[in-house]
Parts: sequence; C-alpha cells; structure tokens
Amino acid sequence: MKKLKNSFLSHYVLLWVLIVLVIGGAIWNPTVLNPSNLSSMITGRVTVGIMAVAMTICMAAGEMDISLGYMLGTSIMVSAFAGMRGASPAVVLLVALLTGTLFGALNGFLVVVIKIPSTIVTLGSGMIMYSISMGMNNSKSITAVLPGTVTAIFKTRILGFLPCVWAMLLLFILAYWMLEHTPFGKQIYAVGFSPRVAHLAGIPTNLVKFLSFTLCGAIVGVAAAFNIGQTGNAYVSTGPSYLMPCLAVVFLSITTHKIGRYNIVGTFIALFTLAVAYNIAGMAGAPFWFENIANGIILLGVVLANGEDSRSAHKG
Amino acid sequence: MAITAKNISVTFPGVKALDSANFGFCEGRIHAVLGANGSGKSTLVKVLTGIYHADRDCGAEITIDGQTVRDIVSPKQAHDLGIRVVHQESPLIFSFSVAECIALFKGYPTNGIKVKWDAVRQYAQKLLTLYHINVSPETLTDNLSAADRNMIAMAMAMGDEEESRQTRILILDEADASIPEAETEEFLAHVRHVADMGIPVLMVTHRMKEVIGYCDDVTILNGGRVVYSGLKSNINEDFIVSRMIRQTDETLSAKAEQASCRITDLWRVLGRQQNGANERPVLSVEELTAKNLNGITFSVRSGEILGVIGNPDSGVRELPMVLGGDMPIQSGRYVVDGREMERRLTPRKCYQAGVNVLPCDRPVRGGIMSCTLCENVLMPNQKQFWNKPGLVKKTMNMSMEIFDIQPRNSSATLFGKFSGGNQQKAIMAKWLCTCPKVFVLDDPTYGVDPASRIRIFTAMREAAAANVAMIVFSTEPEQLAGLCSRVLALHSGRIVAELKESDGTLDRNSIAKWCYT
Repeated sequence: MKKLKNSFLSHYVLLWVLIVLVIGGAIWNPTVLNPSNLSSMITGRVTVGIMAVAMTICMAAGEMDISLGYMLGTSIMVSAFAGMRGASPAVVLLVALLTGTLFGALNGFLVVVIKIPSTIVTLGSGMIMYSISMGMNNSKSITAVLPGTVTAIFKTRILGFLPCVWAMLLLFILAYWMLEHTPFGKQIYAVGFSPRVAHLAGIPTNLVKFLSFTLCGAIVGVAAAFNIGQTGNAYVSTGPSYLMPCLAVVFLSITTHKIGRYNIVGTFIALFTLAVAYNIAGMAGAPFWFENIANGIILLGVVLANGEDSRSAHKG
Repeated sequence: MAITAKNISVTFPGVKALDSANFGFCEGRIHAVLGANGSGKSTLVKVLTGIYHADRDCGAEITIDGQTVRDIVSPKQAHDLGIRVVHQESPLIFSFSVAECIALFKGYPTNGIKVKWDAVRQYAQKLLTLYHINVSPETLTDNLSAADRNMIAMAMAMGDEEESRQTRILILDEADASIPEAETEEFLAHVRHVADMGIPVLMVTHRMKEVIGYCDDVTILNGGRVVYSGLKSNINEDFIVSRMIRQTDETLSAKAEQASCRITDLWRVLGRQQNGANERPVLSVEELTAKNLNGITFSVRSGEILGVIGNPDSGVRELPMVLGGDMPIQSGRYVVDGREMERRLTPRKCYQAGVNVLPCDRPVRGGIMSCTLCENVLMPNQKQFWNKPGLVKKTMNMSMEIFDIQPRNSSATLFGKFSGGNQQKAIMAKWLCTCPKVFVLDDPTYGVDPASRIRIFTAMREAAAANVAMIVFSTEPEQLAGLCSRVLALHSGRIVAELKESDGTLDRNSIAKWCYT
C-alpha cells in the first residue's frame, strides 16, 4: 500500500478498515447490521475490551503486564470461593474487584521496588495466580454462587445493551480522560517514553508506575466482577485465552489516532475492527479457530500499511 | 604520505562542521588531532570511516596509498581501504571471555558441526602476544582494566600479522577517554608499538598533556578549519591552547533582537515571583564529596552567573548531576536558600527546593523525543495547567516568543522533529517557566547552531537580571568570559582556581588553559 503521510487517511487506517468491513459486510449480508447481531457482537468483546483498557494504561507507562489473563481468572475464582463460603453477593463482587487491585499492586511493587523487568515479574506472578485459581476448589469450577435475582440485574438490558457493555464504554471514557486530559496521564506517558527525562523533571516515576499497575489490576477486577455477576459461575479455565486478543488490540492502537503511542481511542477502534472481522467470519461459516487468524492478519496488515514511524511504539 | 585528505567540507543544516580542511598522515607516526568540542574532530573521523560524507561540490579527495577516492561511501568501503577505527565505546561484551569477544568480531572457526574452540583460543592468544597484551584469552571481560579493554579493542581492529599488513591507518576516536590517568601511559606505549609497525595512527583525544608526550605530529582544528598542522616539537601547550580558542565572540555580539515579552512576564502569568536581590548566597556547598569530587566549596548569589570549567576528568561532569540530585552526595553540606538539603537527594527534591538542572546529553536526559513540544515544556509542572487550555496556549506562545523557538505554532509537533538549537531553547523554557532560584546549565550550547546560541546567552542574561542564580558548565569555555562574572576551575575533583572579572584574571586564555590541559 502506498505510504500516506500526515493525512487523516494515514492516521486512521484502522478506522477505514473498520468502515470497509462494516459496509462490505452489510452489502454481503444485511444481518451484520441487525441490532441483535451488533449487541451480541459487542457483548462478546466486553472482557477483551475492558482488559485492553487496563493493558493500554500499563503499556503507556512503558511496562507490560502479561499476567492480566490469569489475574482475571483468579479474581473470578477467588470471589466465587468467597461466595461458596457464604459471602453475600455484594461481598463477592467486591472481592473480585479487590483481588484484581491487589494483584496489580503486587506486580507494581515488584517492578518498582525490587526492580525486576515487568515481563518477568508478570510472567512469574501470572503463573502463581493461575495456581491459586486452580487450588481454590481443587481445580474444579464453582457454579451458582450468586442468587438469580443478582444475575438478573446484570442481565437487564439498558437501551438494548447489557450493563457490562455500558461499564466498558464508561471505562473507555474514563481512561481516555485520564490519559489525555489529566496531569497523571501526561506523567504516565512521560515515564513510559523516557523514565530518565521524567525522573530529572521531578516526576515521581516509581509512584507513577506503581499506580499504573494498580489501576490496571483494578480494571481487571471490574471485568472479573461483571463476569461473575452475569453468570454466577467461575470456571477454572477462564482468563489466559484473553491475553493475546487483548495484546493485539493494544498493539493496533499505536497505528491509529496518536501514531506511535498506545492510546485509548486507538484501542477502542482496534477492538471494534477485530470484533467486526470475527463476526463476519463467523457468519460466513468460518470455524472457531479462524478468529486468531483474522486477528493476526489484521494486526500485521495494518502495521505494515502504516509508515515506518508507527510500526512500533516510540522510545525516548 | 600514506594518507591524505584534501578539501574536506561537511555541512549540516546551519553549521559547517568541516571547512575545506586538508590532512596528511605519515607511516609510523602518531598524529594527534586536537580541538575544542564542535571543532570538527569527530566529523573528520566519521568522514574517514564512511559514516558522514564530504559535500558533493567541494572537490574532496582522499588518497590512500596512491589510490584516490572522492568519497568513502560506507564503513565497509573504509574497511576495505584499510582504515581501522577504535571507538570510544569498547566493543567487548560483558560476561564473555576475551577469546569469545575476539571471535565474535573475527568470525568463529568451525568444522561444520561445532565451533573449534581451540582455534578460537589460539587466535586470541596470537593477537594478545602480538600486541604484548598480558591477559589470558579465558579472562572474562568484566575483570579487565580499562587500559586492557582498550588495547584488546585495538588488537581486534588491527587483526593478526597478516591482516595488520592491510591496515593503512589506525584511528583512535577518543579511545582513551575511559582509561584512568594512571593507566594512560601503558596504553600510549601500546599505541607507540603499533606505530612502530609502520602504521599511521590518528588519535582524537582530550587528554592533551599525556598525548603531547607521545605524539609526533599535531593538527589543531578550530571551527571546522585546520589552524595548525605540523611537528609537535615546534609548538608548546600555550600555543595549542591559543589556537583552540574560538575566535568569534558570540557572547559579546549577543545583541539578539529583543523579544516582545520577557521571562518575568511569563512568571507573572503563571503567578510566580522571584525573591528580590539578596547578598546572601542562594546556593552554597561546603566540602562536598561525591564520585570524582573531593571536597568542593563554593557559593552563588541570586542574579549571579557563575561559570565552572575543567577538563573532562576533573569532576565537571559530575558536579551538575550532584547539584541536581541525580548523583549521591557522599559527604559535605549542600544548602539552598538557607535550608540544608538532605543527603538522599532526588531530582524531585531539588526541583521543589528551587534548583533546576538543564542536563547535557539532550536526547537521553533533556527532552522526550516522542512527546510533543508542549508536553515537554510543561512537564515539570503539569498540575498547574490541568484543564486550563487557555493558560497552556498563553504559556506556550510566550515561551516560544521569549526563547525564539522555531517554527511558531508548533506546540503539538513531536519534540524529535525540532533542530538541536530549538530543542535546547525549549528545554531552557521548560525549566525557566518554573521560576527556579538556581538554574544549573550543563553544556547548554552543545550541538546548537550559532543563532540559537546567541538566543540562549541572551536568555541566560535575562534570567540572571531577574535574580535567578545561574551556574554554567561549558565545553565551549571561551563563551564564559563574556558571560560570567566569576569562573571556578576544577581539577582532580577540587576547585583549584577562581577567575574573577573584578581582579582581571577572567580572560579567554586563562579559561581555555584550565579546560584543555
């Protein structure tokens, strides 16, 4: 593809891909635009979307949290365990949120204070989390920990969408506001791009990194709470499979809106591009394993179509 | 002559790094190339090694053993022509053995299935013996002394007897910079050994004293021109220093057109105010020790511009970092505005106490290249600008006006897209916006074009007039004569001289002498 410079077109290649997919899909099969199809498509991506928000914050701070998938699974299992032991529904949801926050803070602590690279820290902590979630109930799933009245609340559609969809949208807006329009967000980017310059500019780099990890964990906790709230069940296998799609979405974000930066608008567009692509593939009768092929092709294709300076996040 | 280079001109945007310079290097002689920072020394090395290219229309000619080329197009061609270079950074890899490092660069001999480790060791031993390096091939590079490390780098560049016969010139590009003074002799003896093999050696160095003892010929560069080239025996240190001094005096001609607003106006907009003039020192240190600093005592008053000079080993690199809280203090007192600073300092604490540092090494420590200009300028003080787009706009417009940052209306442009001079002016703006009590500038004019340089000096004078205490470290020390009222000279981590305007000791020659020798 011809390299396009400094035009709206080049800043939003991904958005054009999304538009082409939607229009092309709608021509091929009008049910793509069917409200019930759209609703189920978005609902299916909520967990990945929420986790991508978390990951974007973490990556903007120059770190990577590969324990996010395990963190989700563990938060769900721990909260279900509390429910199994008789905790009230409110406590169960709170436990999901707190478990994520706690693990996020733990990751941040290890990265900042003990100065271990974040990929190693989160790989290690992720494995530990996975073990914990297995050990919660002897590697058996925990089901029906919430009464039907509670899960019903989580299944009440508001303006046609489930509460988890609205939660995801709210998180996207909050994260956008925080990263782009608050001093803390500016500090996150400064620390992510050049910890050295940020440190010399008097920014408390360690605190910024620690808070980014903690926030990341808290957002995963929200995803966990909605997960258990909606189903009342906790499956041991939930979690790890969300990591790769989530990473794909975040990496795609650097090709859009703010080229060369992990950014929330980019994450949002990327999430929907991948969702629509998978949805159309599904309608065309592609098998389930096709999702990852589509993810991979879009990731590589869009990155290649962009100029060289947007193929990876900038450094320094 | 084994190698001659004629009519070499290299132009960068706004700067002529080399200006029709001619060089000649003879077999078996050590040729020192001297010059202040920015005089064109490293440009020359880069032209000879195929990294930079001489301007097309300047009629450049490089002759190596009778073979003439117009331009060395690539490092590969430079190598094919027999040009060998040892850079400042050692090519050795930590936690590898000496033999392995050598094999990495020379290729691993294999028998098709595995590496022949015996051959690797033998080759390494051969090199080490040839160059009289008293180190075992098994030694881990971590355990080598700086001199050994550099000698091995040299041996690797030259190769064994067979390969060294193809060497037409050996270039040592500040290769001695990391060697402590005590080991320099040993290293230079090895350089002499290489020259005795009949190879011309080109040394670029800042260690004037030691090198003069060993070299045969000297070329002095000043502002991209060759101002002396000839035998060392004909000249002395004073002569060299006098030739290294820059002739143009930008500080005195610094009558830059007045900006329509001043730094004090910006402070008013941001609600900041400088203390009035005061005879009491605003920053003072007593018997300060840290890495490379062995007991420094001085003080600076508000509104004063204090210069600090010294050769690179004297502690001038460390002192600005210590003052900015970026390097730990070992002992001594550090007082800012009457308040004693704690021992465990951070840049944040110094910033809060009113001490700002403009660091050297702009791309790594000065600004964030992939953030916008606006984000860089407002970085230390983002809270004040939260949710105030009007204030952001006004601050940016005024900063760009005061510091003449070009092009205007570019606050959303990525920092990396600006020229060096504009970046440096923006970093000055970043710190001066916060209305510091003390502003420490570490080499503010490094890699900055002349017009920006003038603007930087003007801004420094303005800030001093507004009662900011300024401490300037410079590698272009002649500038300080026109700017400072007082200059401290460092040597071996101590203050050894104080040059004052008031008693007539502050002139360019004496400043240059302390810096270059």
